[in-house]
Amino acid sequence: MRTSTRHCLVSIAAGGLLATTAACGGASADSGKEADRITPTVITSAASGKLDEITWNLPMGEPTTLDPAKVGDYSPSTVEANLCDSLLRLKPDYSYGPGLAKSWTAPDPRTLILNLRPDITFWDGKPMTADDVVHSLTRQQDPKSGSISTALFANVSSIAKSGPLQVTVRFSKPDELFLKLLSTEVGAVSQKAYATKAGKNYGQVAGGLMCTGPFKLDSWKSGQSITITRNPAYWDPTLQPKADKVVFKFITDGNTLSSALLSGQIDGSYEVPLQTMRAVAGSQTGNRHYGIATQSVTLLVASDKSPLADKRLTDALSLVLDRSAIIKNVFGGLASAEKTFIPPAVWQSSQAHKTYRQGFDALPDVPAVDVAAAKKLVAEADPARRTLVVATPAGDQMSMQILTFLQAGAKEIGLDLQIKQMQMVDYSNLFYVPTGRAGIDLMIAFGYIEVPDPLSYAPAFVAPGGLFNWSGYSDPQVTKLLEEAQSTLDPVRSAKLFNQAQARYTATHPVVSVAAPYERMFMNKRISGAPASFAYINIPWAAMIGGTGR
Amino acid sequence: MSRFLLTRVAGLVIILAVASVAIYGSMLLAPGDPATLLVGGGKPPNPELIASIHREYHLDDPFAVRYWRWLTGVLQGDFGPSLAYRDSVNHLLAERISNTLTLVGYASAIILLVGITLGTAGALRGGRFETSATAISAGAMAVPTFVIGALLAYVFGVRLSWFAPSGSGSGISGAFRYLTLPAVALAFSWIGYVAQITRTSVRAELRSEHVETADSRGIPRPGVIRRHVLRNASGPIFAVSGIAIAGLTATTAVVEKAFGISGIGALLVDAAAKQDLATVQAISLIMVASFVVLNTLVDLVTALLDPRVLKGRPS
Repeated sequence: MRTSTRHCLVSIAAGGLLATTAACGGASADSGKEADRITPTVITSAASGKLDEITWNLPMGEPTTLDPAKVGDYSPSTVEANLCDSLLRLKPDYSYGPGLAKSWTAPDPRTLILNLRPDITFWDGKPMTADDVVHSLTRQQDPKSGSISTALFANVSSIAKSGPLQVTVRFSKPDELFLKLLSTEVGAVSQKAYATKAGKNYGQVAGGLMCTGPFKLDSWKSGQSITITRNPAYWDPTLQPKADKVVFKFITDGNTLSSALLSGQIDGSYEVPLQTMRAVAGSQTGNRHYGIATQSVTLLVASDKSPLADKRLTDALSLVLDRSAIIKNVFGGLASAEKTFIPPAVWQSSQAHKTYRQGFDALPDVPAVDVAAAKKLVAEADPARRTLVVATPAGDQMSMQILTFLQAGAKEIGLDLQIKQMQMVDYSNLFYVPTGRAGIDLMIAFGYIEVPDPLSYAPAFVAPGGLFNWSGYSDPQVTKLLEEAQSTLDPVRSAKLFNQAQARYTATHPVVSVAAPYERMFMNKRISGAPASFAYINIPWAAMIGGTGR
Repeated sequence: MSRFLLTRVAGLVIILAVASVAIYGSMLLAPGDPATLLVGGGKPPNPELIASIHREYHLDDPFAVRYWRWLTGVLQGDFGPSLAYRDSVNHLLAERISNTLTLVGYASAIILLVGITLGTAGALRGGRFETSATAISAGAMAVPTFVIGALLAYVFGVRLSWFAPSGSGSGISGAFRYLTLPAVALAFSWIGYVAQITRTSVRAELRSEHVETADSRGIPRPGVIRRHVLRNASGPIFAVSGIAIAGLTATTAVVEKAFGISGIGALLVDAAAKQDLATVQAISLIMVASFVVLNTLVDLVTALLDPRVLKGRPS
């Protein structure tokens, strides 16, 4: 659900070239100085050797589901992306193209026609039809199926088969975002007969899956591992798996993961904790990779009653937040400062990337630390209360360190910031249960954006009733511009409307963007080819890995 | 004897009943709605989904109703559904319990073998050997389990590659490769404890009158040690070993987390963080039960070794 930025991303966007990681693979992340030389990349060097088995780790723990209608987190998505193909295919540079749908047309702004590939079979050999696609999309739309994506179908009025290999989606109002959603798990296709029979067990340990992806679900041993095996009849010649099977492990402890990577017991992992990245530095076993990412760290105002709902105060906090110190000390240099919560990686491969770039460049720069200016803002705002509570997940070192920096800065301007560590469930409640936010002024959130479109994210922050809009922010002009942008199918015109909205809310919306961490990945030297970018979360990345012969 | 057993079994049932109410109640008192962990990332929540999770897991029912539903399930051998793992608790436990049992069994064997050998040898040989044995065992008692775990994994798992630094395997060779380091880490501090008690009891017996008498009557030394010293010292040694093994069931969570072993201890830690009531309840009760049963067994065997214990009881 969130973002990232950096000038080095531009070259990748403009040229569409896929840099190899040779430059950063062996680089050290241990000092800010060396980290300055690290440029996040898109993909690792290709490798084509056959492999019997790859062991991969999921540092966020065991998935709770693999059902495409229910996955919405790191671990489930990382596995599911290799199993269930989507109608559109996301690429490591965040561009997208045909997937299970070979083409699509919009005969009018409220109609989307998807033409399906004729040569697709499920793992059991049965052909994929329009019925399967209609059923899969309807499951995503139907609140009763337990789908977590229902809200994304707000503008969809009907989903129907219009030919043996054709599906027509109609909209109550035009929606430029919907097509791009189909490149994520929202557009994943499951076999109707299988999913119906499995019912609510679909995608669970008990129910299994039936999709068309390059790997099939072989076994899921609760608590132990998930094994996926090569689909020998896979349709896409460019994504034929080179590994016969991939075994996923669920090591969440950073030290344990370091040992497992160093000993070669685990071949690789995305989202490697920074402590582990440091521990494996200089290892002969494998290489560290840093990728472009749409992840970001943001400080969200938790209530419209909080003094922080006054933008002058969040601006004051932003002015005393020493981002360069945070990036150096908390992220080991492996992050960039953020000037808005939508990072360029989100739109850099869009057809309208030049327009988005203009809008982005026109935004005010990340502020340098300026205590005097911050003090002035606090004096102007003259808050009724100067003791503020900021929430963080208990045991999260990175968040704690960032907030300690913020606390020190706030003290200089007369604000007393109290850090409240919250257990997993309480912290999760902050997002979904209004009473859970009682007594909280600010919260730190690590998030990511899946869809390569700013409109998949911005409304959550600035539209009335948006998922992260608890400060009561409401600007009818911004709301109108964002709605218009989403209803405009022409990419450049849509981007222009978004730019206007972005310029407006950036000036008035109370929020503090902190940093955008790079994707951190490790691979044993015997394998290569995986995407380095965070886009992996919606790509059959394991099919890209091959043996290096080392 | 049967009366002794009967009171112990009754005690066990009462302890389990009280513990189950206490654990169930305390989890319910914890604030927060665990259903929000399932609604998914940064997407706007589907209110129907949260409501259906509440219905499915009866999250809004009163305490008494939920407890009664849980209790009737348990009495039929069903620990209920896990909210956080979307699986049955029985299945979650079945997949993990053998790892925990093997680990605890392996660690127990190490504790008994090393602890008793070290303590006995120290007491019998005396002098510098005894001093160093005491120092080593005192040191072992002081090292926290997670520290020794990380150290062992690094030295023997990563540098020397003798054992796997994490994970779990199957079969005897799997247990040896994957569970040796965790078992040693788990046993480490208890080894010191058992060694110290063994040394003290053996020492005390060596100085006792009947041993001195046996010595003065010219009975060969090995016979004296076997029949008089070790036999009489075995009571306290057995008692402390029993406590050590019972204690392992509680500390296994630390080692399972540190070595990435999928056991019920690691599951307990994760489930507690996710407020997964049914899972926490089931594992806590298994741990309470095994603790009580092991202690009862220790009492029983101690009584068999020394009938005075049984006769001395008012019951």
